[in-house]
Parts: sequence; C-alpha cells; structure tokens
Amino acid sequence: MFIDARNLPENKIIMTDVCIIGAGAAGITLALEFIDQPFQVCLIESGGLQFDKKTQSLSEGENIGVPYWPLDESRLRYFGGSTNHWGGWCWPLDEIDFETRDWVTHSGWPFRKSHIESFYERARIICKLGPFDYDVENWESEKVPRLGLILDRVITKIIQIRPISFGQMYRDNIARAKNISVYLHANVLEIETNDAAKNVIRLRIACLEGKKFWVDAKVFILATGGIENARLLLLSRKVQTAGLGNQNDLVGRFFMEHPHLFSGIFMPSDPNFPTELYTGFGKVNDTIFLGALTLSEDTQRRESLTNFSATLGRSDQYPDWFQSLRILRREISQGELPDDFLRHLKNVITEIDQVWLTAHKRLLQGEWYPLKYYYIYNRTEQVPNPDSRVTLSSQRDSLGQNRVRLDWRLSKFDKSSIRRASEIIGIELGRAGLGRLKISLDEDDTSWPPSLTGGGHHMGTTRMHIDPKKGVVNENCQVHGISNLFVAGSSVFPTSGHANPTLTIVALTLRLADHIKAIMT
Amino acid sequence: MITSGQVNRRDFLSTLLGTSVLLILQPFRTVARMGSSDCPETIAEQLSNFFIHKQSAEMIGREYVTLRPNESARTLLNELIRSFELHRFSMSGRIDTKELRNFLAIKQRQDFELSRIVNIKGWILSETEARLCALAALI
Repeated sequence: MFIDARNLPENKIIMTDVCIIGAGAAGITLALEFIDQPFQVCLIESGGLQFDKKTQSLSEGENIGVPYWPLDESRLRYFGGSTNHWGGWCWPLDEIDFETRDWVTHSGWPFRKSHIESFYERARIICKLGPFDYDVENWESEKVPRLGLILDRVITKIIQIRPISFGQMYRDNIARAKNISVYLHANVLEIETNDAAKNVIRLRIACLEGKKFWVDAKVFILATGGIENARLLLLSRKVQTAGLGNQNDLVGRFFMEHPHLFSGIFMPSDPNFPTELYTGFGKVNDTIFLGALTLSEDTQRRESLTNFSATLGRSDQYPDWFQSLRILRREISQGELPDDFLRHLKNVITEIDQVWLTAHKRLLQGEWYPLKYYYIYNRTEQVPNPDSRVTLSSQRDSLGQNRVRLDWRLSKFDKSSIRRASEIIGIELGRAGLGRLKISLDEDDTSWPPSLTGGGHHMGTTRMHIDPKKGVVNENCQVHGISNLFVAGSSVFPTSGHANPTLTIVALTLRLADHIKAIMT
Repeated sequence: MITSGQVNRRDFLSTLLGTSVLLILQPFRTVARMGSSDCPETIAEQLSNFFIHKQSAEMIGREYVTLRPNESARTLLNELIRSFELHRFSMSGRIDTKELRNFLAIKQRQDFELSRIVNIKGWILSETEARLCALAALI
C-alpha cells in the first residue's frame, strides 16, 4: 500500500514492526524480502513516485574535496532512489576485496567472499541479470574474443549490464503486499533513542509542506544511501551529541568512491583486431555484457596494488591533411570552394607524402585512415581514508536540517597504484604483441587529471567492523551499541573493490533481510 | 608533422605504426642491400631509415637519449646490430624476409618479457624500438 504522508493527520504516530528508511536499491530489496512475513513493515521515502525538484534539493550539499558531482546530481530522491538513473552495471567484488591486505590500510571485511556467494546468486535475480558467472570464457566467442594475453597477470572479467529502476520494476509487488506500507513524501529528520542511546524508539518525520508525524517500530533499518545514511546519524544528536553511533568519531569517515578516469590510450598492432568485447555491449541470451581488463589477485598481491579495472573506448584519429582533403573534395564536388581554402590546400600539399603513402596503402593493402586507437578508462579501488569524509555543513535545507559537506580525498597511493596497473597492462599488451599503451597519468601523485570523476558510488561512511572502535556497524550491519538500528547499503562497505556496488549492495541487503527475519520470527 | 618539442599523439602513433608494422616490412629491402662489407655507418643510416615518419622517430629518440645519456650512436648501433643479428643475415647472402619479420617481432616481445622496457612520455616501449628511434636521432 502506498500512502501520501502529506495526507496524514498532524503528529500521527505510526506503529509498526520494521521500519525501513529509504526506498532505493537496498530499501526496496528489504521490502521485497519482507513481503508476506508475519510482521508489519513501514517503508519511508523522502520523495514521491516521480522526480520532484523541491524534494531533490534536499540532497544538495557542499563539495570541498576532490572535484565531484554536485551532490543533488549523483543520487536521486524518489521511489526507486538512485536506481532511477542507474547504468545497471553489475559484477561482484573479488575474493581479495574481502581480505585484510597489509598494503591497503583499514582493509578487511568481517567475512570472506564465500560467505556471501549465495546472496550474490539471489541478488542477480533481483537485478534481473543472467547467470552468476563473470568468467570471460563463458561469454567470449570466436568473433568476440578476449585479448590474447600470454600471462595471467592481466585478466578479463565480465560486467553484466541491466539498467532497471527498482521503483518501476517492483512498485506493484510492494503495493500489493498486505504487510507493507510505503509512506511517500516523508523525510526523516531524526532517529530518536532512549536516554542511554541503546535503543531507537521512533523516527521524527516531516513533509516539505510542514506536516509532522512519527514512526514507532521494533527494528529500524537505515537505507538512504552512502551519504545520507551518515548524514542522518550525524543529525540524530539529541542523546549522543556527536551523532548516533558516532561515539568513536567514525560516522561519515572513510568515504570512498571508485575513481573514474582516462589513464591512457592503447594502439593495437593490428588495426583489425577485434576489440568488441571491451568496447561494445555484447548480448548472450538477453544479457548485455562488457569485458574489462583487471589485475589478477596474484598480481595485486605481488605488486601491492589496489584493485583495478579498465575498459576501452574506441577513437578514430584523422590527421589535418585528411580532414582538409575531405572538405576540399566535398565542397569542390558541389561546385564551391570551402572557407579557408588556402589553409586546407596547404595542409594537403605540405603532407603530400602522407597523402601518397595513404593512397598507396589504400590501393595495395586495403588499409585506410584513421589510425585506430582506444582510450583506456579506469574504475578503480580507493584506499579507505579516514580523512575522506562526510560531515554536516552549516548550510540548511528547506526542512531546517544541516546540509551535507563532502570532503572526498584521494591518496598518493591511489594514483601511483593506477599508474603501475596501467604500466602492467602496457607491458602485457606489448609482450603479447597486441600493441602499445600510452599512460597519460603524470608522475605527480598529489595531482589528478581533469577527467577524474566518481561513479556516484558512495561507500564506506558507516563501515563494517567487528570492533566498535574501527567500524560503525558490526558484521550484521547493526549499529554498534544500538540493538535495533541497522544500516543497509554501500555505506557499510569497509573496502570498495573496483566493481560497481549495486550487486553487492543487494547481496548484503538480502543477508541483512535474513537476519532481520530471524530476529522478528 | 612535429612542430614543437612535444611528441604529439598522431606523430607518435604514426611512428609506432612505423616501428611495429612498417619497420618490419621496410627492412627487407634495406637489409637485402647489405653486404658483408657494409660499414657500420651505412647500416646505421639504413636502420634509421626504417621509419616512414623519421622526424617523429627522432623525437622519440631524443627523449630516449635524454633518459639514457650514456648510450652513444656507436653503442646503440653495435647493440642493434648484435641484437638484430644483422651480420648473420648479411653473411648468409640470402635474406629470408619472413624470417626477419618474425625475428624482429620476437625481439620486441623478448624485450617485454625480459623487462627491457622504456617509458617515453608515457608510452611503454620495447628497448629495441626505442633504440632504433634513438639511432635515428643521433646520426
């Protein structure tokens, strides 16, 4: 059932068993799992069923660190959350991502990958993906082969791509569920606890139009995304003045993204070499997929590097004389002379040897401009960094709440690791005789190229650790010290790997859902 | 066309195309002309003429020489003659172009296998191809 919270009576107290805050990938997955369970569920969503500018403005905030997307553009605030603009890229984290690695500070999850394999299998059904299989041998074909590298220092992995809006896909399932009530246009202002801050008692909620109400539940699950989860805990400071769960000053710290950037170009020795696996979107049994070059776990260990992936983007480069020749030919064939006729003529005449060579090659060997090369685009792991963080800004939103301030920070190691990984790829491409790679990252590890951006992957701000001094939530995603408050989503990731986070978000959420079901039944 | 001290992408690509493809095709004619009496200077000139875009090769070569100032033209030439086993080809009196093509490709791959790699302005190159460029720059 969907309820417009703006129509509720003022100061109404809604009594329920489980309250989920946020209807994005995590919140909707929880709701789906709770359908027909023997307990009542309340799902609170800030927005409505469609995008609304005023609601979206609640996500505005300050960026004071590495240049980043405006905060109201890198996430969405209506039913379905950020899956409403999600690209649908899915792949799991690697085994090594869960390990404690002495070269990656603050690394290590409370469990191994094998622990969540079964949840990944369930997650792929929710994400409408093909089989849980990311090994290239099961996706490549004779026409679309992987790059034939000699050693396994660099390997190809598969990304499955299925952009779905969880809001649209699962709206009807949730609407039909008898035990689930979705409250739209409902903005949680504060999570209120008892005096000892051991239990959450209720949520204080408001609509943009001013209506206020409360939700009283046995269990609360925060699922508002990697930035908003931290913000809401920091805003809930009536009892714990530093913010809820923030007794060890960890809430909002360790913000991680996947640095996305162009790191160089690859020029194949054979211009006709098939690179479609890495540049196009293949399709097998309705599953769209793309290949990416990654470092093997062994290479990461041996070289002490972070996890890394690279896809290729094709580009064709035409020299000036070629462009000029084309313009001259086109204009003259229409009986006209182009603007800058003399410049174009000069371009052709001064490079007449190239014109001749190209024509010669074209006639005799069938080769033709442009030179074929590929941009290397990276999506990489960021080392957890306590100084990379989300805090509260002094600016206020239209509900009077402190806006968020993001200070995304990257380390020298983050950059040097990408550069070394690129170098390894260049060496392996050369070793296999496949071509040459140019790394465009400079040697100054304190600066980043203008192409640097994030993927809208907000992670780490309520990180998971069994030790309350090292993590905000425990291995069950329960906020340390608060018995009935849980966190879902990528904010609990202790490390990020290089893989897009949604599949892991859903897998971890399914694991949490099982835990909650066990508690409630 | 190189117009400044920078190695631009197109020139670099052209040169690499020259080293990795045309370099392998051009030498057959070049080496075929070499007799056992060829003096090293002639070989040097011929080696440096592998490139279809010699100016670009020279630019890469100058970067290489900056990285490794101890390698003179003579050192480079000797090293290239040794590594290409040019004497073997010229002494035999019979040039097997296919063999030479394969041989040069193997040399480049061996460089990568044995970490004989140079990074010139970000390009990860085999030492052999970079030395050829350096030779072009020095003679």
